[in-house]
This record gives sequence, C-alpha cells and structure tokens, in this order.
Amino acid sequence: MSRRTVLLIDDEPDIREVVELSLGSVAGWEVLTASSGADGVALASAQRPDVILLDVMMPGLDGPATLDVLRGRDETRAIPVLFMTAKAQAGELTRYASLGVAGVIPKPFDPMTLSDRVAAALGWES
Amino acid sequence: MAAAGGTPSRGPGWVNPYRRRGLLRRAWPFLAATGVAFVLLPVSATGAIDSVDVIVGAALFLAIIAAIVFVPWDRVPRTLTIFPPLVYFGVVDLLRDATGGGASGYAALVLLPVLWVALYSGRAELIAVLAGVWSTFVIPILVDKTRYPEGDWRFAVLLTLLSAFIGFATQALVENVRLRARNLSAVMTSAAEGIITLTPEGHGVFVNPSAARMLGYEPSELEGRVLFDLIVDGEFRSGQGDAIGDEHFRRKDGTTFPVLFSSTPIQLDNGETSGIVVTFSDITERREIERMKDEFVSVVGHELRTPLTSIRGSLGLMAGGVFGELDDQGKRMLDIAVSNTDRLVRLINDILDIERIESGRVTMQKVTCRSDDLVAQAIEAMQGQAETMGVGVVSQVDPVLLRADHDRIMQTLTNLISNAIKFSPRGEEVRVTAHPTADTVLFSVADHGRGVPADKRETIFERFGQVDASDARDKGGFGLGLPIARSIVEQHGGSLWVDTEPGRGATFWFTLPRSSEAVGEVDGSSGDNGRAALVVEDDADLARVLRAMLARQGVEAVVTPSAEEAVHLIDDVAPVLLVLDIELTGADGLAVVDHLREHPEIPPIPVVVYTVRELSEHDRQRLTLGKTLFFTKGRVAPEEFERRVADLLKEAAPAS
Repeated sequence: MSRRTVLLIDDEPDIREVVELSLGSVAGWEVLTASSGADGVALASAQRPDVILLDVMMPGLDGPATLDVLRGRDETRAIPVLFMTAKAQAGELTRYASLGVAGVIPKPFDPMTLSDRVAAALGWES
Repeated sequence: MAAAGGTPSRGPGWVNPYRRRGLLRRAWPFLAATGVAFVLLPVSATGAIDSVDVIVGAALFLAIIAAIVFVPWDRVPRTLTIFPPLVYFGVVDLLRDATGGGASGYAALVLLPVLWVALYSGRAELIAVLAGVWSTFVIPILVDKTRYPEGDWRFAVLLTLLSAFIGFATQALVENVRLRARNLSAVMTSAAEGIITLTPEGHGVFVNPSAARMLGYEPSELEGRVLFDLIVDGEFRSGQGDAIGDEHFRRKDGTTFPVLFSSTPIQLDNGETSGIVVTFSDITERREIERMKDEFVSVVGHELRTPLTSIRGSLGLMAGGVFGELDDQGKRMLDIAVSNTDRLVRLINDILDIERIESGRVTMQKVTCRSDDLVAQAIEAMQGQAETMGVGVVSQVDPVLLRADHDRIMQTLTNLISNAIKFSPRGEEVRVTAHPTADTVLFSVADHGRGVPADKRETIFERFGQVDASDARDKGGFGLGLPIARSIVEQHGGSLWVDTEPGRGATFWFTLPRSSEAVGEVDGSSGDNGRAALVVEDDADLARVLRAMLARQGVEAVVTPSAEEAVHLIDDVAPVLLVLDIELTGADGLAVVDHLREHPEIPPIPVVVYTVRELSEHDRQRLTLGKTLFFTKGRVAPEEFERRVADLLKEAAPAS
C-alpha cells in the first residue's frame, strides 16, 4: 500500500508541529498542514489526502463550516474527516459525531499512538 | 361629629358602605327581606291593617333607597351614613304598628339594619344602630301603652342583646376575613412570582400584577377569560397533586418565554377541586446565564486543553524516543512530566464534568442496557489498572435490563472500581455485583482496603472530600470521582451510598431503576416500546449517535462492541433491526450474519451494514440475508442514513 497522506487543519502552530512529528516521523505518513479552514480546503482539493484531521475551534471558517465546504466540493466530498478537538465534553462529542465525520479525536492526544487512533477510526490496517 | 370647614370626617381605611360598585350584590338580601315583609302584610296582621302606616312605611323605605342611591356619600361626613339604617327603624315601627303593635312578629326586622352595619360599617355605627334597636321598642311603649304593654320592656332588652351579639360577632368575623384577605392580597400582589387562580374550567379568577406584567396583559383582561392556552405545550390541569414543570408561556403579543411553574389543584373538604393555582417565574434570564456559563466552561476547557495538547505532544514525542534515547534519569523526569500532564487533563475534565452533571444540564441518554454487560465492560476497562496494582477483580451478576445512560453508568462503575483497586492491598480482590430488587437493580463494588472512617462517610461524596488530604498525591485522585458517580446515579433516580468498617474495607452500593422488561422479554411484536435494535459497533461515540437516531424512530438500541456478544444477544433482544459495523476487535461483523444464516429458526432481521471498509461484491453477497442496506461511514449524510433506516423499519415491522 502506498504511503498514507494526512492533511491537518489547525490554527495552533505548536499542535501542527507535534502532529507532523507524530504522524510523520513516528508513523511514517506524509503530513500536509494548513493553518486555516480556507487554506485547508484549497490544499485538500489539490492534494486529495487520504484523511483530513480538522480542528473544531478556529478563527474564520471553523471545523463544522470547513466540513460543509469540503462536503460541498466534488474533489473533497469523499475524503474522510476526523475532528480533533479540545472541546471534548460528552455532549459536544455526540454533536460533532452527528455531523457526519468518521470520528472525533479529543485533545490532548498521545503522539505515540495518534496514528493508531486515526487508523482505527478509519478501519485502516496499521 | 360636625365636619370642620366642610371636610368630611372619615377614619383610616373607611369604605363607603353605599359605594356603587357591588351595591346591588350587597343590598339585595335586605331589599328582598323588606319586600317579602310588605307582601306578607295581608296574612300577618292579627286585626285590620292600618293602611296609612303601610303607605308611610313604604314611602320611608323608598326614601331610604333613593337616599342610598342619590346622596354623594363619598363627599358627605361619614356620620351621616348611619341615617339610612336608623330611618329604617321607623319603617319597622310603622309595620309593627300596622300589624298589631306589641304582638307583631315584624319586630324581627330590626335585625336587618344591625346586619347591614355589622357587615359594611364600623364599630361606632354598630353602637348607634343598637341604640336604634332599643328605641324601636321603647318609644312605642312610652307613646301608646294600650298597644305596647309594659311587658314589652323584656322584649326590648332581649332583642337589643340579641342584636348586639349578632352584630358584634358578625363584625369580628368580617374583620377577621378582611384582614386575612388583605394579607393574602398583599402577598399575592407584591410577589415577584406570577400567581393565577383558575376555575376548574380554566377561567381566570385572580391574576396578580407580576403575572399580568410577564404575560403582557392588564390583570382585568385575564380575569374571566379561559387561560389554558397561555401554556404553549402542556397543561395546567393536575389530577390530585402538584405539577411542577419547565414550560413556555405565551404573551399577549404571541411571543413566548420560558417559565418554571407549578400548578396545584384547590381541594375542597369534600374532595372536589374548586380551581387551580398556578405560580410561575420567568426564567429567560436564568436560561441565558446557564447558556453563558456553559459556554464559559466549554471555552475555558478548550483554552486549557489547547496548550496542554502541545505540552503533552512534545513530551510524548520525547518520551517515545523520537529524538533519541535519554539516560534513565532523563526518562524518569519525562515520565513524571507526561503522567502529570495526563493528570492535569483528567482534573480539568472532571471539574468540567461535575459542573455540568450537578447542575442537571447534562441529560442522561437513557437506553435499555444489561447489567451484566455494564459490569463486564467496566471491569474490562479497569483491567490494566488492576494488573498494575496486583489486584484481582471478580464479579457476580444476575442479568437484568435497566434504563440508563450507558456511558455515564460505565463512568460510575469505573470510578468505583478504580477507587476500590487503588485502596486494595496487593493480592486482594475487588468484588463487583449486580442483583435485581423489586424495581431497581442494586450494584455493589467491594474492596478489602482501609475502609472509610465514620466521620468521612458523607464528606467523601463532596468535591475534593477525600478521606486523607494525602490521597490526592498518593492515590492519584482528585476527590471528584465519587461526587460525579453520585450525581450520575441521582440523575437516574437512584442513590449511592457506602457501607464500611474501618480497616476491613468498604462496599459502595448504588441503585438504578429497572426496565419493566426482563432479559429476553424484549419482543418485536410488543409494540413500539418493546422494539429493540441490536447495534454492533465498537466506536462509543458513533454508538451514541446511532442510539439517539434509533430512539427517534421509537426503537431502543442494545449496543455491543463485539460480534461474539452480538450472537448471544440476538436471542435475548429479539431485535427488529441489526446495525452492523464490520471492523470490530475479535471476530468481524460478517460473523454475526453467518450465525443468522446457520440458524434459520431465528426470524429474519433486516440488517444495516455501516462500515468504513469498501466492501467487495463477495462480502456484500455474504452479508445479504434478507433486507440489507449498505452505508460507508463518513460518506452518507446523517439525515439520509436516518431516513433510509426509518423506511427499512417501517417495511420490516410496521409500528401498529
């Protein structure tokens, strides 16, 4: 199987760096990053990643709004999306899950097992 | 008393007895009694009737009526108001004279002015009227001894005393009632809460100013109107006891506002209901504050977790050796940093959690669960901790169905089991049981640890209320697990308590309401309430969404994360629908359909396959037994998913 490509959309540079190392250096995936919903949509359309990790609370286009845009475009409609969120109250998780994402990864996460969590949510063989 | 300078003299709180409002209602018994007295004249007289007396009496009575109606009583001195009753004694004397003098029964009419003054005037007026009664009998004796013999003195004394007794007793009663009415009215009028009383048919009887203001009406606009439609969705009528609820009321302009209200029937001594009292308060502001608090808690949680994500991530990468191996001491330091970051995250989660649960703003998503599943899953989740601490966990459970929020009860059980493990000496056992009682399921988690001292048996359920201040450090808890567990149980209508003997261990007990069905009784043919779907899904979040979605279709979800368990559950649950994830730990979802194929005696069950995997044609054929729908996770809109599942349910087992 070819190398997995992941797109991370998160406005926090520190978190982007941690995820890049976690999924890049540790799991050996190709990691693309975008710091805003709009940049993320552009990158997703151009690169067609295997999965998009999407922060929920972002200035401008937030996670659910970005998801809407991604679902509205032919190039990105089929790409599975996982929310990554620090707003991980039970009620919020249920609401996010009902928006039609493949899963929700609460922050903080363990960088050594992040790729396993992503793979498990998508049914990939890790 | 002469009014100096023409200023009418009236006492404080004086009410004009002849005020127009309600005059007829107050006066009609007096008019009627006098009217009847005139009508009965022909049959009452012992001899010939003196028609001059009758005509003068009638004229006097009409003059009294005219005076009452036409004199501007509000502007004349209060003293003058006594004249109509006093003049009435003249009417009484004329009628007595017309009907046989001392022997006439018309003497009883003296009670009418006494009653009038006792009911509607003051103490001074009553005394004046009693003097009038006395005169009514004494003057005729002095004037005409033939028709009114000396013996009538006794009659005068007796009737005056009787009048005094009736007058003063009536006046005391009336004052008492007025005082109570004034107090009650002051309370009702000044109350910030809205208060409305209704007839049993819903007509407004009394509406206090707060109620009228909140509803945008004048009180008089609501009195007499049917008010059942003020409530947007629900009803005031409450059979025997109080009804307390959260509702929306409708304003005059059609807008609505949230209220907390109670409606209480007014019960008479004979058990009948004479009306309903509704009290309510506008909780718009409270709702807004709750919303702001929720948002604040959510934002604070987010703002705290975001830097922790970077810290935890960086530390995790270092501890994982991504940047090369550290020496032992360096590793030890990093492990300390990682575990304390994790601890800080748990603390934040617990604080936010208890805040929301205790305020009752987290609704419990109640579904039908099995007690044995809950215990097994909780023990499974705590197995790692138990092994690390060298403590065994055993269980003894009678399977019972109960209505509970699966995840929250798991949280309760894992909190209790985790505590029990922490406080158990190495090599000991933690024992978890669940047994049915008449209408509850009784769970227990027992350890052989140090127990809880008598003075701490309640404080351990308070926030940060650990037995020993050093426990937070030594045992790694915060003192929030038990309060969270108790709140969750209480939100289910159960209770949680501890039995303990210091030095010999503690047993935590809690009860949850049982489901009315027994295990295995969930029957597809028993109507909507009994319809259950078996959801085989190992992603707890997704399971929760599916559960909520199925509940909207009137179907209860029995969720299991494993295919092996699903096979066992099929007989117990008799599901009307099987929702199947294919990617599971252990045997995959295909095994469940294989089981159905191998057991043709099981009635056909429609299957919804919901998976992330792109299925091969071979897999699809293997999964298709009867009606089968295929969905790929994340690629179907939730509404579309729900609609098609609803259609499938209707086709398969129409809800009758």
